[in-house]
Amino acid sequence: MAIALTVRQAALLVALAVAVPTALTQQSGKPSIEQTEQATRALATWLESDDFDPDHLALVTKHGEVVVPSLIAALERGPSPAKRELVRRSLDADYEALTRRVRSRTEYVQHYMANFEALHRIRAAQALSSIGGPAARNALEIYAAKAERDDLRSALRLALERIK
Amino acid sequence: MKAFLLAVGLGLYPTLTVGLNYAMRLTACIPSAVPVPPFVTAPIPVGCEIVDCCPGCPGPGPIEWRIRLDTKVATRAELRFEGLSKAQLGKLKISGAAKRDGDRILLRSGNARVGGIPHGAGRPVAVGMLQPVAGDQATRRLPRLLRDAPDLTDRILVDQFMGPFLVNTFSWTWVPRPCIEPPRKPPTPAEDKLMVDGVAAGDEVSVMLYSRTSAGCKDGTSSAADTTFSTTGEKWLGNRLSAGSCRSEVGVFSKKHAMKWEPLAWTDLPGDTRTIKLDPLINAALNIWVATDADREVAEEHAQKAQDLFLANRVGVRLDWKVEKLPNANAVQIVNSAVGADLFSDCLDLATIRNAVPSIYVANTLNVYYVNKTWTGRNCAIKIVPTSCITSPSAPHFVAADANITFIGTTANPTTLAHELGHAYGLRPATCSGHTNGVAGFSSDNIMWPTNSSSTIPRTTLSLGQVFRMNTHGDGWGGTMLIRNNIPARVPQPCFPHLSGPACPQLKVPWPLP
Repeated sequence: MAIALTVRQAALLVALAVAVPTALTQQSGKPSIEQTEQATRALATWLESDDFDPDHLALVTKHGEVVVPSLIAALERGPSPAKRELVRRSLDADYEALTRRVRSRTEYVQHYMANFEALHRIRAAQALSSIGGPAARNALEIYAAKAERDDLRSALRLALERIK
Repeated sequence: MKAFLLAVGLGLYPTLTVGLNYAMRLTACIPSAVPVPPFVTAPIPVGCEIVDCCPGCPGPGPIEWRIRLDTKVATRAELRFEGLSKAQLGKLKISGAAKRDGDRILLRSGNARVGGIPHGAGRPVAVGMLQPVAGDQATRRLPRLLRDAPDLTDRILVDQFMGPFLVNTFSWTWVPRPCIEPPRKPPTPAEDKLMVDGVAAGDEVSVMLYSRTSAGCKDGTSSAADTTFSTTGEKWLGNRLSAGSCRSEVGVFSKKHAMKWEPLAWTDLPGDTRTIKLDPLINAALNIWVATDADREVAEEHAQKAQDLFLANRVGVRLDWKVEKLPNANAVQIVNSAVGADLFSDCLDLATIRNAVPSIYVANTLNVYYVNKTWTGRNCAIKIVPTSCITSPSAPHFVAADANITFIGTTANPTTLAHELGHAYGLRPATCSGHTNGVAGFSSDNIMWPTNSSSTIPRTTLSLGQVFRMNTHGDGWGGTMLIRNNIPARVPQPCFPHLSGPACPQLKVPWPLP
């Protein structure tokens, strides 16, 4: 098992290492509009992904420090208001389509909205852990102390254990 | 009047694999091109996709919408903003192919801009309600338009900008296609005929027919139009020929029956009639194990949703689920220790689950465990998730584990269970198009789409190509559990999701519309 993890973590590290030069060049100056758009798309995809895909994570981490403030914001504040509105409407439509309901609409929407927000923050924590650095560590430590969900707290602990 | 099929899609931004995704898809069949039924209104929240809008974005400030109507039929659109006051509406800066009309904005083909939309922290989210409208003349011309341009597609793009930065996108796509012809009278001279026995009055089934014709083999390498159709029970087929070196078989998919898949022989002479007798839906046992009463409620909801989706998508299965509480703390510990907590969620120790006393595993059925892990779900067909596409087990990591075991984590969404059961039923590995993100012909409404699933529109669809595999696929990880658990007499056939060929339809092959 330990070998398996090592192999895969090595693959991930290779992907991240390839991305480092890009990140370093971006640190030297303000990212271009094109780079900003790429980073935004990568962040949106990673933060909203249900399943772990190392390629999606690598697309975020290749931007290095450039995306750290956005990831910290996602960790602290969760999804954007526009995204929350879209999710709320989506869940509302989903509830409407249920053929058998075991919970009220409010309970249903709140439950899955909370899961969506938790996953969003977990993805932010995982990306911060992969990029590393003092700002990322500090944000993870602060948020780990105030996260309310058990699963979120344990994901944050794991992110802190593995931070670069 | 010629009938037309209208596939109405609220689709993806072109760069959909990695991007700002907002996608919806609706399909409808109408008996006539005139009138085109009203399009569904699309709600588009004003604001950024991510919470700080973008790396390097300026602070809170107004948003500008850049709208492009690239349309031939939906030649107009109305835009209303919910959540903006009259004063705020009055201050919007409108230019290009748009004009203000009271509290709405009328858009026409071309490019338009709506600037100065208030946006910022502490404000309620305004929502733009986009209502495309079919032009009368264009609707009347639709038959000719389709004849001249069979791939006719209308598109509306809405890009949201903060200063020079793109911060959100929305795309609407509408694809009209001709309807199938209504049943016709017996032809002269005679033709071959397919009868499907058991279709209820008012119902229809989808058929995938491979055979040899005078034009050659019609099989998985042919277009969907040549090999799939809908029928209410009787279909004239021209003259199908003896198989020769071609595949000659039929698959029938129904919302009320099991999927039927069998060889079908024809003579070289016209006038053959072949009858397919449908069987009842397969009752697939689904044993769900939970630790808490709260999980029980959620599990019931997930199972109902999975069943509804499988029935609606003609999988041919009725999930027969039972939710049980794990018998003791030790059992809870066993299931939580069986799968990894980290990013990779490896299936570590399934034997302990299978051998637990009292029993928490039922052989040859689907078993689902709700665990305290911070991910959505994991089907354990493969012990460790491959990070690249492989089509056979490989030791020590990518060996078969147990596709009849699925775990659901704490951040599951309403369709996580249906998605994981898709993997149990052979849609794997994820890296071989078991996940459909980035696969041509799929969008985020697909049940096997792994990202964005709860953030845009519920996952509701499976393609014919996917459902065929769920009923037939064989591989070194056990193939589809539907065969192993419920139809052991069926000989599985390897059809990995990313591969197609004479025996395997492309994964994206859609349902023929009625």
